[in-house]
Amino acid sequence: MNDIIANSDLLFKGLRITLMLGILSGVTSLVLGTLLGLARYSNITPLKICAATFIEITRSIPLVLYIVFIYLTCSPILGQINIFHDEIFGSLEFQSAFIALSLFTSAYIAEIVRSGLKSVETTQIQAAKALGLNIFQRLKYVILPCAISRMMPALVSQFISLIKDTSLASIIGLIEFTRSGEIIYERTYNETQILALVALVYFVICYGMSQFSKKLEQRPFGIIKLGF
Amino acid sequence: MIKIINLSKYFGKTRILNNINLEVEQGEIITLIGTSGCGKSTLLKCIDGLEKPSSGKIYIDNIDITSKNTNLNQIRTRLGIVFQQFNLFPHMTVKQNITLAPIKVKEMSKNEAEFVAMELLEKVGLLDKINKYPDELSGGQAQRVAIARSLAMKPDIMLFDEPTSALDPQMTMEVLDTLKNLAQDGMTMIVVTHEMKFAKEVANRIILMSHGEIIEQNNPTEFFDNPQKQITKDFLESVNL
Repeated sequence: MNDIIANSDLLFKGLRITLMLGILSGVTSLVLGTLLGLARYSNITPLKICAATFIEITRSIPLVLYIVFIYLTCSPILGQINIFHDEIFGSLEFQSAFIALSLFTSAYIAEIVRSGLKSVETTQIQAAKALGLNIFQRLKYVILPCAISRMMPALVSQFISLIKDTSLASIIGLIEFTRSGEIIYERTYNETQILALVALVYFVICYGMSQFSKKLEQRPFGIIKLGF
Repeated sequence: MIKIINLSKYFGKTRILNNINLEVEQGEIITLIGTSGCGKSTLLKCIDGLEKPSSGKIYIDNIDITSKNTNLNQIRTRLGIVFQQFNLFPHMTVKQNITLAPIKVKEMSKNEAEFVAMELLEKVGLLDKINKYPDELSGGQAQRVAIARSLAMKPDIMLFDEPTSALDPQMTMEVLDTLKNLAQDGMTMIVVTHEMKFAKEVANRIILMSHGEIIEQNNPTEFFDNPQKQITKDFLESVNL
């Protein structure tokens, strides 16, 4: 216990990096994934092919390899740009991990979005067409609201994976939550307690997310403001 | 009002509609009958632009809706279509279902659209359901809401695609009564149906289709009492009137 208290600064810093990385790449991959999903769902062949190629390649590569590859290829460029001077955001490891996780997760989210869109019955879409709604109105008022509620469980599960996947960024030297735990037990030889604590914190975060998702499923349309 | 010239439709190699020619005048009430799979619903969907014809032309008030330059969404505001499965939007209340298109497509104010919705719901006898969701309605109620939703766009022509096929006899009555009221108001209507009694009572003209072709069309008295073609005779015998 004393080991944990003595090293709590390092643990908190690691937790902050994990959460930052998770939230930032979560939001980015949601936006990117939705766009990719829409592209693959669309009728425009070049868009479809580009999206499908990216998704298939990304999904077929192990995440660790993806992170290392992005780190090795992007860090020279990122080093040149060097826009953030913050201790966390400024590090090349954080930036590379953020890019890798965002791209990687967006491929999975794209498929969730596409399956959600495809699950909307053609009869619903026909009804919306018959009322004279244009493609954007159909998406906004009919297709997406129906699709989003069906996508919710899969999306939350993807974000839970993402939070845990941030730990793989330790491979390029980012001291996130898992790595900070490792550093502490390497110093103190108190593996069991520290690993148990780290695991517990991950559990609390992920279980919280899953409970939140249950709430959303119970009232699937509650989160969607139709705005008219 | 509607003019269909040499309309054919293929799904892959299967021929669904074969060289259909049809004219519909304002105020006419037409029922399309025929065995399942004879192309009635596809014809209706072609008229609403939901299916693209493989060849032929469809004019609505002299506007060619099969032309690429025609704004289909604009034409669709003049046509209402009601489907067999109602197709209400499940995430919207009855009120939202009815007011969505008037507000977004016709740019009606929210108040005006809600007033129209209330008027129409009163007409179909469902004003008390205005804030309910579709899954809280019976089939007959859902179908009447769907009719109100189409009417809210103030269409000139109403198309009905087997509006009572998914309903039990009691609910069928409710919906057919609504259709009769519409007919009395002078709405131009094309109704795909298996309800021969309704066809006999309400229609000005009955059209029998078989294998994608129009076999016979006539006024109800002539159609039922004096059918010309053998297919019509066989069909009428099979429906046991």
